[in-house]
Order: sequence, then C-alpha cells, then structure tokens
Amino acid sequence: MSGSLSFASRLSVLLAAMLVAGGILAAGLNYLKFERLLLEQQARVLEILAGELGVTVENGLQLGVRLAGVPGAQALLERSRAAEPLIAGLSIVDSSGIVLFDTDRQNLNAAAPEAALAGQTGSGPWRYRDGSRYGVGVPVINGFGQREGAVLLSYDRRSVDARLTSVLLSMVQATLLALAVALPVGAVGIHLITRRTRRWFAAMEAAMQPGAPPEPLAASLQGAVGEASAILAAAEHRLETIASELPEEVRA
Amino acid sequence: MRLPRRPLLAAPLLALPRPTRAQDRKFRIVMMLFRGWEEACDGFRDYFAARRIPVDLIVRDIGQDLSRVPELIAETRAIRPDLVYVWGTSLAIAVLGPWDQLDPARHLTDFPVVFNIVTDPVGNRIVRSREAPGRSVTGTEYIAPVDVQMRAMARYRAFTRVATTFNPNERNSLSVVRQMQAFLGGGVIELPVALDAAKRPDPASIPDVIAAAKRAGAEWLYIPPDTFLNDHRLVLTRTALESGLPCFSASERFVQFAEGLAGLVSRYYSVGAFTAFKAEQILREGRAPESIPVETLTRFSFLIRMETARRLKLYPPVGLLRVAETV
Amino acid sequence: MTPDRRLIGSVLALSVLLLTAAIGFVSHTALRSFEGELRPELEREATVVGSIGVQTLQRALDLGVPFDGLSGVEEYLATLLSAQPGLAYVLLTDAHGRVIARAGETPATFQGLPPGAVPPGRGAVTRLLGSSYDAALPLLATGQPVGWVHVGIARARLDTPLDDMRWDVVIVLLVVLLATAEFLRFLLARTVSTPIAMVRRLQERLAAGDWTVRAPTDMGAEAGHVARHLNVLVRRMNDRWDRLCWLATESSAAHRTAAVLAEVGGKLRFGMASVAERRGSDTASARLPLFLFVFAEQLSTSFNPIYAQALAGGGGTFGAALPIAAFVAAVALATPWGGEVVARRGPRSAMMWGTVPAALGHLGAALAPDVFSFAAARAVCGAGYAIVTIACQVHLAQEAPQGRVARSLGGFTAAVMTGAVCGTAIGAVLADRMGFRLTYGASMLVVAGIALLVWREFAPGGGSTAPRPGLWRSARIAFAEPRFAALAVLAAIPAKVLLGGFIFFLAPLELRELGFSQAAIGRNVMLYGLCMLPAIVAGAWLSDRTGRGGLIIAIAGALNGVGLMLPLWLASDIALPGAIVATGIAQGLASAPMLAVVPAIAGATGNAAAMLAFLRLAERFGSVVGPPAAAALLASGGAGHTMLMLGIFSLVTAIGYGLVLLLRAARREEPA
Repeated sequence: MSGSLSFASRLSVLLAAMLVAGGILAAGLNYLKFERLLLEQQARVLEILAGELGVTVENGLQLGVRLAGVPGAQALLERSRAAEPLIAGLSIVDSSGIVLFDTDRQNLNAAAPEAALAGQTGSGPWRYRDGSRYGVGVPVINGFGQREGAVLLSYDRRSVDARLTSVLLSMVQATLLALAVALPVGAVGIHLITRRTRRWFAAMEAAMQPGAPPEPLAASLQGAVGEASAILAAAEHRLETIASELPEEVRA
Repeated sequence: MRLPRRPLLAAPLLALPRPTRAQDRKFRIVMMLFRGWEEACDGFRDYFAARRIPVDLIVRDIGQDLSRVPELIAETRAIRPDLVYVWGTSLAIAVLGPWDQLDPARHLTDFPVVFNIVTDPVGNRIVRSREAPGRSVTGTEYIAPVDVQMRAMARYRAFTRVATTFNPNERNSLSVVRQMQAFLGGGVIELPVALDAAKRPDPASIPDVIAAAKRAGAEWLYIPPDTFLNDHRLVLTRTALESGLPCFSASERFVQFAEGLAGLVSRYYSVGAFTAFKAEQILREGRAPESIPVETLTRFSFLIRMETARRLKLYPPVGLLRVAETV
Repeated sequence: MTPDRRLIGSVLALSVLLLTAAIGFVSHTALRSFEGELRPELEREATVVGSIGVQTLQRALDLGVPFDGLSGVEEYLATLLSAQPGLAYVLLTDAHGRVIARAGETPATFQGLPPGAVPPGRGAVTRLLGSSYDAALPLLATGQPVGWVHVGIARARLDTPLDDMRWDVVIVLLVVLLATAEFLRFLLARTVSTPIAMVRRLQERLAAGDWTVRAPTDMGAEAGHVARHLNVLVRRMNDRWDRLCWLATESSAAHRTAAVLAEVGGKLRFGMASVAERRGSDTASARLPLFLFVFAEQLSTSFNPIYAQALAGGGGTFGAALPIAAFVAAVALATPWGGEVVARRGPRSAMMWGTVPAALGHLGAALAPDVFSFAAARAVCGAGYAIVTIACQVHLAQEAPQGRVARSLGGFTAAVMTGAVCGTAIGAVLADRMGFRLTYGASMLVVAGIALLVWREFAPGGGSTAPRPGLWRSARIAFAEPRFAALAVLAAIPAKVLLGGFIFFLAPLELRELGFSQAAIGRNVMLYGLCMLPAIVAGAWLSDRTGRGGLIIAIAGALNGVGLMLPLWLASDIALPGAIVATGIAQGLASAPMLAVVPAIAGATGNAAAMLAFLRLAERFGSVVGPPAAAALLASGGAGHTMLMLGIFSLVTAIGYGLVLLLRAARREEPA
C-alpha cells in the first residue's frame, strides 16, 4: 500500500478481500463436506453389495469345498458386476492374497495388491485405496471361524469425480456471481459513505493553499492562519514604517 | 587331563544355523482309516495344500477289520511320524483306548494324535472333556451339539412337543435323547423302536412309532444319528411324510437320500479341513494337543428337502432359505 | 462533530450487509444443489437393499414356495432393516399393492404400486412418498410381478449433514464479520481517526498561536497529504517571521523594533519543533495483530487433546494432557523473559521476534510424528505466544492516552476473546474438512502474515535499557500481602485450573466421546468465549456499581463449581455444553473485578504492575496444573467423576475466598 492510495480505496480493497475470503471459505468448506458425504454414501452402498457377495460365497463354502472350489463363483462375480455399473472389478482372493476369481481374467492366480488387503480388521468390511482405484473388502469366513479369503470390490471414482466437478463448477459460478454483485456495490457504497470525510480532508488541504477561498469545513484552520497572517502583516507594516521614519543621518 | 572330544566336536555342529523350519522339512503324518478314503480325508489333505504346508501322508486303511490294529500300531511306532490321524469312532477306541486307563502295550501313546469323524469322544472315553482332552490327543466332532440342533429345528418351525425314535441298544442315541430331555425340559416324546425276541430292533414297529408320535401331538420327529434308523431311513421318512409329520435329523442321509424334511449337518469335507487346522496348530505352532479343545464347526449346513416341504405344505422361513441348502 | 464519528459504524454496517448477502447466497445455492445431488445416492442405497430382499424372496418363490406360503417374512425384513442403519422401513406388498409384511416405521401415507405397474427393466421404481424416498422392486413368477418389495429411506437423513453445513456457514459468517471488524478498525484508525485527531490537535495549537508544530510525515493516504501541506504552511509562516526578524535587525531603531517583535511574540510563537507531533493514541493498531495471533493460536483449541491422544496411541490420557501443559508452562516461563525482550527492543521488534517461534511451533505441530515432538512444538509455540502477547500489551499501554489505561486493557481482553471465539469455531470446521495437520499449517500461515503486517505497519523503537527491579523481591512483597495471596490461590488459580483442565482438555475429548462431529465440538468450546465476552462487561459494571469486587469473584467461583456439577442432574449432552457456558459466564464475571481489586490491594505498597504480573503468573500455574490433574482424574474415574471433582474444587475455594473476605471485614470492624 503506497502512500498515495486514498483511504476509501483501501477500505474498498479490504472489503473486497473479505468478500472473496468469505465466499471462498463458505463455498470451499461446504464443497469439501459434500464431497465427503457423497463418497461416504457411495462406499456404503458398495459395502452392502460386497457384504452380500461375501455371504453368498460363504454359503457356497458350506457345500464342503475350499474357496477355490466354490461352484459358480466366477459367474457370480460377473453377474454382480454387470448389475451395478459403479463396480469396476470384483475378485475373490484366498488367505495368502492370491486371486482365485476375478472379473478381469488377467488377474487370475496373480497376487492381489498389498494395499487391498492391508486394512482388514476383525470380521467386518474394510475400505482401501490402491492408487486411483478405491475398493471395499469383505472377509470370507469358513465353517470353523477361519478366514479363508476375501471378496474385493474395486470401483473407480471417475463417474463420481465428474459429478463432483460439476457441483464445484456450479458453486464457483454462484460465488463469482455473488462477488460480481457485491464488489461493485461495496466499492460504490464505501465511496458514498466516505464522501464527507474525504471532503473534510480535501477542504483541509485546499484551505492550506495560499490565497484559498473560505472553506466552511476548515474554518478554524483558516481563522488561525488568517489571524497569524494578519498579525505578521501588521508587524511587517509597522517595521517598514519604523524603517521609513528613521532619520536620514542614521543610514549614512 | 584329557578333555572329552565328542562334545567339542558336537559344539561346532550346534553352532551351525538350523535349517529354517517348515521350509525344506515335510511333516510326516500317518493316516489310519477305517473304511477307506472319503471326503473328510479329502478335506484334511486339501487344507495343507491350500495353506502351502508340505506334508507327507502315509495312509493305512484297515478295511473295517479291527484285528489289524496292533500291527498298525507297531508299524506306526517304527515310522515315527510327527502326527497320527485316526478316522472313525471304533478305530479311535481301538487305537487310543480310554483316557484314564492307557495301556502302552495296546494303545498308541507315543505321538500326538488328531481324530476325525468320531461320535461322542467324551462319552466314548477317548478324551476326558472337550475343553481339556487330558491326553496327547485332540480332534473334531462332526455331530452338531444337541442344543444347536434343537434351536435349528425351532428356527424352521417353533415347537413345544417333539417326538424322537431310536434303537434302544445304541448307546449314542440314548445319550442324545438324554441331552434332549435336559435341554428341552418337558415336551420330548420318547418312542424307542420295539425289540424283537432276540433283543434286536424290529423294523416293522416303525409305522407304529409314527402313529404314536402323531397321537401324542408331536410337531417334529427328531432322528438321532443311529445306524439302525439309517438302514431303514426310507421307510421311516416316507411313513412320516405320509402322516404329515416333519422329520429333522443330524445326518444328511435322511434328507439327501430319504424323504426327511430338514437336518443340520456338517459337511465331511469341512470337518476334515477343521481337523487339519488343528493338526496345523500342533505341527506348525508347536502347541500341545492337551491344550487344543475338541470342537465342532461353528457353522453347519442346514439341509432342506423342498419336495417334502411342498408335500407337507410346511415351507421354511425365507430368512432360513437364504442360508440353507436345498436338496 | 468530527467527520469520522459515524464512519466506522456505517462501513461496518455496509460490510455486514454485503458479507451476509454474499455468503448467504453462496451457501443457499450450494445446499440446494447438494440435496439434489444426494437424493439419487439415497435412492440407490434403497434400491440395493431392496434387491437383496428381492433375491431372497425370489429364491423362495423359485424353489416352489407359493407367494401366500412365504413364511417368516416379517422376521427377515426386520433383520434386513437392522443390518443397514439409516433405513426407515422395508415392506412387502402383493401385486395389488396391499401390504403383506412390514418392518420399521411405515409412513401413514404409504401406497403400494397399482396392479398394472410395469416392472422396470433394471433397478427399482423410485418415488418420493411423503417424507421418504421409496424404492420398489418386483417379485416375479412366470415373468409377472406377484408382489413388490419396498425400501424407504427418510429424507430426514439428509437433514443432519445439511444442518451441520448450515451451522458451519453461520460460523464462517461470524468469523468473517468479526475479522472484518478488526481489520476495519485497524485501517480506519490508521488512516482516518488518528490523523484527524492529530490534525485537530495541531489546529488548536495553531489557533492558540503556537507555530512550532510539525506534523508527522509518514502517514499514507489523504492524511499524509494534509500533514505535508500543514508542514509547508507552518514553514511559510516561520519564513515570514524570519523575514520579520531580519527586517528588525536591519533597522537601527532597535528598541522600537524589538517592541514590535515582542508584541508579535506575545501572540504567536515560532520555531521548529525538534520532534514531530505524535501520531496519537493508536490502540487499535495493537489490537489487530493480537486478534490475528490469538485467532491463529486458537484454531487448534477444539482438537488439541484429540490430536494428542491420537498421537499418543489412543490410550493414555496423560499423553493428551502433556502438550497442553507444555504450552502453558512455556508461556509461564517465557513471560518474564519476554517482558525483558519487549522492554529492551520495543514492541515491534518483540512482536516480530515472537512470531518466529510461534510459526515454528505450528509447523512442528503439523508435522509431529508422536506426542513428545508435538508437546515440544507446543512449548515452542507457547514461548512465542508469551512474547507476542506481552509485546501487544506493552504497545497498548504505551499508546493509551493518560487515564484510559483500563479501557485499553479492556480492548486487549476483547481482542483476545474475539480472536479466541473466531479461531476456535472456524478451526473446528477447518479440521473437520481438511484434517488436523493442515489446520496447524493454516495457523502458521496466519502467523507469518502477522509478521509481515507488523513489519510494514508498525513504528520501530520504543525500547529502553533502564534497569528494572528484581523479580524475587517483588514476588515476596506481593505474596506477603494476605489479600493478594488469597486472591491468587483461592480465586485465580482455581479458575485457570478449570480452564485448562475442563475447557481445553476434558471438554473436546468428552464431546467426541458423546459423538459430536469436530465442527460441533468447536461450536461448543466456542461457547466459553462467547459467554465470557458479555460477562466481562457485566462483571466490570457490577464491580464499579457495587464496589464489592471480592464478593463477585467468590460468587463467580461458586457458580463455576456448580456448573461443573451439572452432570449430576442433567444428561451428558446437555450438561457438558451447560458446564462450558457456566464456566464462561463465571470466569467472565470475575475477570474485571480481579484486575480491579489488585490496585486496591497494592495501594499501600504501590507496585500494582508487579502484582498484576504475579497474578498472571499464578494463573499460568493453574493452567499448567489443570490438564494433567484432569487427566489423572479422568484415568481414575471417568469424565463425570472428573467434572465433579473439579466442580467441588472450585466451589470449595470460592467459599474459602468468601470466608477470607468476611474474616477481614470482621477484623476491620472489630477495633471500631
């Protein structure tokens, strides 16, 4: 802020900064919460689906087979994936992480990603993140309480990201609209409000110029100036009179 | 004084790192079978494969001939396995003997043992109790506990009166009926099969049993795992069906290979795998068999025969259908 | 009438209007669009649950169970409902829409689908029924629907998060408004009020004939122009006087000219002042950095113990108390040393130096891997906090016009409380959205901004190297006075023990135990500051009117104690905020009388400043002891027990202080 900017302008800048900050805070904080809600809701629904798959697989184990021998597991995975577009991939892994069934057949017999199995605790579902893919895991418990493996459901957030982006854009638009109205109104308002004070300063400044016309706002200043000026002028006049009255001989 | 040489020589050997456990050393298991290899043994073997535990299974089948037991025990002692697997109640009784009257000459006492497909190991005195076997032997039970079965039966259809029939000569069945009385209090209608002149159960009395059950107002007929009844399962279940009496059993044969309505069973395969799980605890984790309890599965298969249900017009609740297996 | 009197009010009013309108508009559009976006998600959840139910029932139908032979449906629907929290109802209707089995609370206005309804190719038929979203899936036999499974989700499920968001918007608005007020005050004081006051002062001097004035030239904006012009004007007058003097010396009629000069000199004075006129009392400019600093510091108040507990591994309560105790201990220890720094280098340097440890402390807190490094970071922060707050206090005292010191101190307290209220509330919201570590990062950024502000806007200097009296001697003198000792031990220390132990330590942890979200925790802790502000005013007014400051302090202590015992009579989720409110009111009531009583006590000895310093030190002691004491009580008995103990402690010490006052009053009356 260099010294020449009017205080009214500084006030406008301050108000503008606060409006921008407030708008960004309100929009940003709300958006973040919304994003969390949406992702939470999505993960919840997928947890329900994964849980169902887990129960179906466990029922299959009851037939008296190992996890790799559950009949119809591959078909079950592919059917479930087709039924829910949000799912990117489904797989069933055994207790050491080897993929037994997978909707993406390339992954069969490979090791499941570490991140996918890292988050499991106890006998409930867990969520994981593997790079850009998000996922839900559900353990498969056999008839004597041992973990025989897990069902992994992965989904990618691209579809949700598109919606989040559109919501973000609409919020940015609303913020910009609000600012577009509020900023000019604020600037104009400030200038109107500060008119009197600015006039006072201007009057002060003008009153101090030599030979200025009388200013009602700066009356007292001008009065003081005038008084001093008059006294000095009178004294000057008297001194000049004295000087002119002096006899010629002193000057010689 | 001359220092003994041997310990000094042994010392450097002891200082060598031992081969890492379970990497290159296979566990040796002698499997004693009663009547050949079946699904329970499949379950046992597949468990080790799935868990990638290297095992060497030495299989000896006595072909239902208990006189071969002493020679089997001698052979086992010569082999010196890490673990012994025994299949079947009669074989277990013969090989292991009662827990409090061990005779090292006749019984196998030198190696840890797991038993499979054995009924009532406590009643048959193979172990002291389920929680504390009291000897170096543990295993699994494949019959669901009576209270679990009663609850399962009630889940299909709640009842206040249940009839049960059994061979009065079969000690296991008597024990089951006693447990039913203990759990249910009143409401158990005991209908033993009549014995003929030679004190053997008479199959002709089965229809009378059914009639008696109907007269007494039984809502279910419970069939314990009884060899005699198993042999006559078709007659039993068909008569009950025609009289409109639903049958519940602890053995899948009555449901799958007869006309019984429902049953709570353990799949032999799963029981075999469970037994292998206990074996793993002994072999890999080094736990003593005395510290491993004898357990049943935690989740059983609920079998329902839909044809019988349709004919009886007694449909299972939908929640039960979700987890049950229909045959 | 001064030209600036109504200025701040009008500008503030305009700001409030515009900010409220802008933020309100943005939030309103946001919340509306959120509801639209979240609705399909809820419908999807209902559909998925419905499809699970359909699969099970369909299996029964496929196995040959006839539709009217389906049994155990209600139990099954009940298990389905209970397995998924947040569903309103699940029910089964037949092909005509009549309800066959239900679980949950069906709305009275429920209507099944009519007989001709066509089953959708995939998914469910979703409708809005009254206050629920309903998804209906068909059960098929031979391709025709024989029944429908309906799953309902209450619309109210969206209400809680939306309400939370509305609250957070209110908090944002409040914080932005308060911050705007502080900034406005600062700016207007700098560029308008103080310059105008100065110009008027100079004007008066000119009118009185004093032409030796010199206006300061380092102001900006219009004020600077006016100042410069004034200096030019004064110089011109002085030039005329100089010419006059020259004229007089040129003339040889010395005594007549001298008489002329003397006459002028009687009315006017000339010369150049050696020092420029002071800009004027600028108390407002010390408020802004203080406000910002406390704001930055308090961002983390609502989650410090929670964060500490998480770092300590979730178990130990001592781990959670350690960083708070470290902070206050550092503040207490750094205060005397900070006083030295300010006295020697002046407020501006001290403030800038103080921001360095504060910023480092916040950075350290953001990066801390375990509870010990977090505690160390907080200690560093505490040292910075001590230095900056003392610097601001000294600056305020230096700037305050004579006789208005108390009002300035009041401004000091107000800035601190405002910063605390804003910081606590919005820090909670930030933590909720961005996480704890990023919030500490935000604190660091604000502190860095303060350093910049102080560097640019404040005048250097103000330090002195005069020797000051020794610390210990003053302490002994102060504590030898029994009234002061009673005040410190029975009133000041217990109040801070409750502040540190309850407000800063126990309340956030316990609110989280009760299930409040982070943002809600912040709002509740903020209640302390909000209630304290009006209570300070009320306490000051009461104390002045009745003159019974000591009694007010005792009553406030008792009120605080009773407030903490609320869990005995009320449920936890009302008692806890209630206790926070009671603590705020009680401590607010007592704060002004406590400060006012000290000069009265010190009257004889005359070292009120030292006594005030020791009162502050006693308070710090209480703050250090509070969190560990609360942690110990929490570990041994649980939250209710802790609050009860703290409440009894406050009550007992308050009664004790009251007794001391009574005794002294009685003893004074006896000889008479």
